[in-house]
Amino acid sequence: MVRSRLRGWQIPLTYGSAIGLAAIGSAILIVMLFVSISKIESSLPRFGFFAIREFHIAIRDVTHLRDMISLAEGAPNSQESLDQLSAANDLVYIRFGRIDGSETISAIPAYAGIVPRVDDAVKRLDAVIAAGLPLDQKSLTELGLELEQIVGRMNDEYYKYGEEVNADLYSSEVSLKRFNYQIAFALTILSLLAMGTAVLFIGRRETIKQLEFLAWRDATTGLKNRAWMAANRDAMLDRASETGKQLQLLLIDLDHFKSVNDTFGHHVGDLLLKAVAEVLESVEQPDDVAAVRLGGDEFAVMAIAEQNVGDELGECLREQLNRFAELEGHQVRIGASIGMACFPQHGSDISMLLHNADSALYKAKAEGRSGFVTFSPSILSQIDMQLGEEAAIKRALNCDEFFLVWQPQFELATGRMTGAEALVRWRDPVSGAVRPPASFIPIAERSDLILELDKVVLGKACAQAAKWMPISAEEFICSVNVSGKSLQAHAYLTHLTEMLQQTELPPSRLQLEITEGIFIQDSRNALESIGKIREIGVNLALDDFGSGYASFGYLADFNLNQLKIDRSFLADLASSTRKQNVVRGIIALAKSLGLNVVAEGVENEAQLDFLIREHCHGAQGFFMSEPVEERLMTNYLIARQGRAKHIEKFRLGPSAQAPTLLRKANVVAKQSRKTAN
Amino acid sequence: MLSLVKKCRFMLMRSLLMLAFLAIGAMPVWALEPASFPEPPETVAFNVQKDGKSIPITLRQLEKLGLYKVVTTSPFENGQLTFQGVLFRDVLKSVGLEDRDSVTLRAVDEYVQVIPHEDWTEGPLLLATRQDGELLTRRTQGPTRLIYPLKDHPAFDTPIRKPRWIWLIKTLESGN
Repeated sequence: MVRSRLRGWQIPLTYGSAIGLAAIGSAILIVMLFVSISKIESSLPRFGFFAIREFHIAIRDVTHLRDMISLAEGAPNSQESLDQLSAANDLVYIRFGRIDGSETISAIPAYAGIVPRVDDAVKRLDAVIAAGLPLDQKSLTELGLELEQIVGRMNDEYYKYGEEVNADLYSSEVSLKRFNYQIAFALTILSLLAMGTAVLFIGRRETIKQLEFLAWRDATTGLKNRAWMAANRDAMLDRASETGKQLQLLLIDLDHFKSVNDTFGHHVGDLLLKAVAEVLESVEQPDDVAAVRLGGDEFAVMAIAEQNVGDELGECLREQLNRFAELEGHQVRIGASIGMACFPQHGSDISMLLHNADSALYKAKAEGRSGFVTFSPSILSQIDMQLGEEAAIKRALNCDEFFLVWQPQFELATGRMTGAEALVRWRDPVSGAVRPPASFIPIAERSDLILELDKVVLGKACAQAAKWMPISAEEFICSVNVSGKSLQAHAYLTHLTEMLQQTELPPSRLQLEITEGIFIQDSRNALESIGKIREIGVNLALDDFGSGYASFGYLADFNLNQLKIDRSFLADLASSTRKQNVVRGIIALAKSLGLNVVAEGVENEAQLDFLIREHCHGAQGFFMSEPVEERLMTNYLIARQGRAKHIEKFRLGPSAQAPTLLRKANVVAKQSRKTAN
Repeated sequence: MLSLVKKCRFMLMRSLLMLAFLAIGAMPVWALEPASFPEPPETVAFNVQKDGKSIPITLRQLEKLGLYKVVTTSPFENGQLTFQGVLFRDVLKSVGLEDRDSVTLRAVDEYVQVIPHEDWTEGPLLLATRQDGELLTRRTQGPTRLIYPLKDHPAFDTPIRKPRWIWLIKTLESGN
């Protein structure tokens, strides 16, 4: 079907033509009605009621005269008959001669023809009466016949006229009946037209109103849309300033919306948006509070409130927007970061408010999601600082200010060092101070700098591992932490293969440590990347196991090599039997899956004892060794290997750490031998 | 009260006099032109049927009551017609039928009309005996006919009064 879209100028044309047709139709109907009426009117006999009565009375008088003549014929010598004759004659004379019969004549034309005949007869009868008694029989007979004829004629005309009237009345009755039907039909048509027009116009008005309404509304959620906000924000601001109230502008950004969409599908994403919209609608108030969807996963709330109202709205929204919801059978976590700026404290016009609210939102996101932050001028400097930090990191990457330190892992059964985990540090070029990863890793992760950083770390680690190859045992594995973002990037895998080729490092000597977060954020891509990494032959370890969104499903789906128990399980291990049981459980699980299990964050002997008792494969922590520089590691490896001829190359450093390392390694060995016995 | 009477005595007398005149009679005065003619013959104009008795009234009797002249148009004849006759009210007064609700007039040709009380009290209803000074004959719709002076009293010009222009009056009776 071809959809005919009407252009702007065509719409009034269609309406105009429709109305024109209706008007023409009505005009035709009305003209037909008028024609009917005129037909009826013309068919009605034009008679005056007096005229027909006059004619009737005239007939009566003439008939009376004729009767008197008959009587006079019978008694021509009687005075009485003469008197009566005279009286009758006078009556007829009055009726035809003196009384004006113009009405009768105009209504009944035949009357005009009769009047002269009657006048003549009266005159002749006058002569007869004047002659006196005895009355002239002959004349009387003549006049009698004449009057007989006149009377007959008058009666004929009277009845003829009556029949005409009757016929006219009949036809006018028929016409009237038809007219009634025409009236009914016309009224029906006209009323239908009127109703149709009314329906059309009302429908059009309603449609326009609805379109106007929809134009301001978002399609998915039904909230007001960005256009509405653009049109009304200045008005709201003016209203707030006029009434001396404050305008709170809250910008709301949903956390991890993209991952919800990718994990559960777009329909669940839409349901999430609708759930959020429901919450926002519940705080809406007709003139004072407006909730707007700006697009994507951004929302805004503009609230006019009294001056003393503080964070109530923001806190309320934060509570309601950070919870779990059941959408289509899935348990989905709704999270939102909220940034607020108020008029007049934080800005005098809407663009300033928006800018500041945006800064507050940025800070809320930076501080860890699901936060509510009110703008304050210090935020700007903090953001500047953050941007500055990002720039600093970028520079550091360019100037190669990052370096690696290594924390050794020990096999608990033998006490040997089976590997080392690479940790990144940042040496500030100006002060020479070393910055811990907590100060720059989060910033890097928020931007895309982490990709670059991970690549650099991988490169350095591979190089170092390759260097250590001749002096380390075969099963010595270097572990490198990888962020979720990097793992999904194709570039990282290419870089990995490149590095392995370049350094000629066997893939089995390298291990990548990933966190559970990657499965939440993007499981499909994660599976692909992990598969590829395993194909290459590089080992995989699951770091911080049990600390976050642990799901045993991942262990089944993905082909991992090592499980690292999160350090939080070792804290308070002695006091909490529950934690002990959990750790036992994890160890058992790992063993049943054939995974190597390593405990992180061993800080005291008791923990170490426990792990040895439970037959944990490996351990890593401050108790054994804190992260050390490469030189020290190299020295230790050499010392461990007992390759004396290389001592000149790798001199023992002036630090006391090497003997400590040795001592600790011996301690572990002793412990394991003790327990074995 | 007495002081008031003393103050405006003249005004008081005048208003009392007017009241007296009002009390005497609501006798409306119509400006009909009186006429006088020589005495007519002693012919019977019509009969008055009263209490089962038939009293003939002659022309002489009628014209003694006081002739007036009326110029009017007629719904039955053309042109301005001049009639002379007596006030119908005077006639009824003389026969004692003035206070009736209505009277019935019969004509020679069996035409009957009932004249209601207001017709002879509202306006100068004329019982005409002469037209243009000439006594009415039977041929001229006489000897008496009832005239509603349309020019002198235009309120008489209503359709319901058209049939009351009865002529060839034969009988007058108190009627319902």
